[in-house]
Amino acid sequence: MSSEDLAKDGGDSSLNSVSKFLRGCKLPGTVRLTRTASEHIARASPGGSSPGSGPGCVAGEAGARRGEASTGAGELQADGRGLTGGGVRGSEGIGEGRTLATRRGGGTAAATNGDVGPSGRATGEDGGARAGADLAHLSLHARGRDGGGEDGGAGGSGRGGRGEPRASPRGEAHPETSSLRSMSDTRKAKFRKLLDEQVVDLEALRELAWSGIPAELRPVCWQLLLGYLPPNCERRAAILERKRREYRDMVPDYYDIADRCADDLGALRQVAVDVPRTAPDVPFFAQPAIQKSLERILYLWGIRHPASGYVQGINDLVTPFLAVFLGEHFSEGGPAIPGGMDGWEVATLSEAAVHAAEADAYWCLCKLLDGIQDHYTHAQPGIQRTVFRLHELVRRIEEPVTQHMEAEGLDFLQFTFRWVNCLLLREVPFALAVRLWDTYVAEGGRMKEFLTYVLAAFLLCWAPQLRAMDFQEMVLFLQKLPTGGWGEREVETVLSRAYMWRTSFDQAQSHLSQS
Amino acid sequence: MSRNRTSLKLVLLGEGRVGKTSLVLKYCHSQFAEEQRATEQAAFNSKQVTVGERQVELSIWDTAGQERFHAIQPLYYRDADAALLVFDLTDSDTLERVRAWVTELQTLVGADVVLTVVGNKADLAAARAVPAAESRGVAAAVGAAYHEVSALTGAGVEAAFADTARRALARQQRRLAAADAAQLSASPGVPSWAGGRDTVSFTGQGPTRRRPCC
Repeated sequence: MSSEDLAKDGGDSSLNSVSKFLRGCKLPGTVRLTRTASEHIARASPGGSSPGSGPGCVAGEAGARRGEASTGAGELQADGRGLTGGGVRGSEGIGEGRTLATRRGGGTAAATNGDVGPSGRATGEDGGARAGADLAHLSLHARGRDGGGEDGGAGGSGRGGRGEPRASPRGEAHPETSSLRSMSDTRKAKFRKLLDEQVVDLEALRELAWSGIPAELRPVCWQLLLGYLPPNCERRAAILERKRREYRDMVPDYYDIADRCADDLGALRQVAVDVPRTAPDVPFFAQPAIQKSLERILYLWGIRHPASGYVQGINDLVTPFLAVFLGEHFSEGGPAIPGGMDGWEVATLSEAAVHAAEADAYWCLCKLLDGIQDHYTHAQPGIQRTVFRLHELVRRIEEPVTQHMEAEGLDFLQFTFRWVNCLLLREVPFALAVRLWDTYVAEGGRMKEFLTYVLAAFLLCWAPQLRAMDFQEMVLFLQKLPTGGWGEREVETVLSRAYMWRTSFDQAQSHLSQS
Repeated sequence: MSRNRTSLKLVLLGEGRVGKTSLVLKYCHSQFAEEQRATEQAAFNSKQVTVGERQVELSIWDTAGQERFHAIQPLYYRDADAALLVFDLTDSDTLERVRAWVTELQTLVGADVVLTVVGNKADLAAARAVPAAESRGVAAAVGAAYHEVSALTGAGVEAAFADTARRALARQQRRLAAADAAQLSASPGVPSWAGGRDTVSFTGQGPTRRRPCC
């Protein structure tokens, strides 16, 4: 069996036999890829400009003032962070999904993640209010620090002395709704309005997408936000055509080749052993055609990014792209991934459709990883830095839990490594990974920094449990967290908390070592 | 000192896809899955066992095979009591790596770390590429015991872990005895990982847990 055979997907040449074959090839046990620097040209970076200032880049001060100005006890209102953007830009819809609830005076804790008009009044949707209400009990962390509380205007003073403990308003202000926010018609209309423009306003799309993208619009939104598609709709078809052709041409040049140097064979071997065990709990990825696509994408990515090469875990990161881009073909109303991927038979699709989705997934993976390459280079300095920052951040937010973990001898790296390596994808059900991805791609250039806050919010979901556990219990618990029953709401709560903390700590960065 | 509650730290090392995770799952949970997700960095498991007359809590760190992850791995094995060096009987290259692991381990943990070379996938007899004599030779050269196992059938798995635990316990007791002797001459002992859970009393304070060095 030659490596050419690997490419000809007869359907019967299973990857297992490939890996067996490769195993028998007398490869050196481990090889590091060494490629010429000219290969680097492949890494088309988005013009050097940072995709940049995602939502929340505006300082909390203005927003806090805005929140203050419109305060009325007991009213449904938006506060602080959520209004940050709204206050400054005065545009509609800003701050969606990130508004947190606070309890003011003796008033009812209430907030909305819904649409916040320029006036600061909550005007809109209900789903977000649930997340907001969940957040309310956390607001004591933020109050005062960012000026979101009564001392409004003291933006970013960096101390949280004011937050007196309050009863959690959990359970109040939970509107009776089960519809997912990203599915609501008004939200869809807003997306469509933006996407119908001749030149898409990426910043507006970023802000909207941050809180979740309607399933049927995911492919185009992700591709725009990652900088794969140009905002100008006239140029899109040509660009897509060119990028897909470019990818198609790479396959014979790099993948379908008879002779490989030992390094490349080692790389192929590593990919080949990982592909069959990618997302084993999602049958969709067990289809032979998908496994071929996965193998090509990962192998090509690895040899074209020689500074890191393929690293285990990147196989997980490509799965949301493949699922979403292929899913477009399987459901009329768009790939409702949370609704399941049963019956998605890739074999029923045209070859061209599969190749297009594969190429798109490849380029989007490139874009996503461009910002976090140092997570995968030697010694993985990016991950170590992120974990270090996470530890410091968690210490600031929840000192007792941090102390407990330290006293038990638990090192953050021991349990967060996989979290960072796979961007939390493995810690939640696959259906929710796409929701995480919405926010990641919306964050753009700030994703890496934001990840630290997401990880902190995720970890501290379990703070009460952790405090009662010893070392062993904690490690066992943390590597298999009970997120099986999670839905979008839980993920959005984590993301909202992360947003809130970033806004709070952005003004007081000195506690986090700059990298 | 907590002589009643004995803990031993075991670490599994070896190339990717040789079956480290499957071995641990078989041993700790009697489970086997054909497609086990790749382990990034490390995963933790524990098991209560009886060694001789003593109840022992085994803490087992299952590490990642891909070389990219090796830089941070000393975090997991620097205070190990024993290591299982796993290779794939159907792939002779994976045996070669065993020597490199031993050198690295002994540098970080000390020359007396308990070692077991484990040849996995013994059920794949037809595909076998490593003769028993060869792997025994490698094991003997590094001062390790040798076991052949199958994480699929479970054959040999219990014996490999039990033997390792027995020798690791003996080593720990030697060390504790030495530490006690040292303590008699006024300086506190520095036991291995188990020491992290020991209590050391300071004047005027309650029992304080000592932080491990990593």
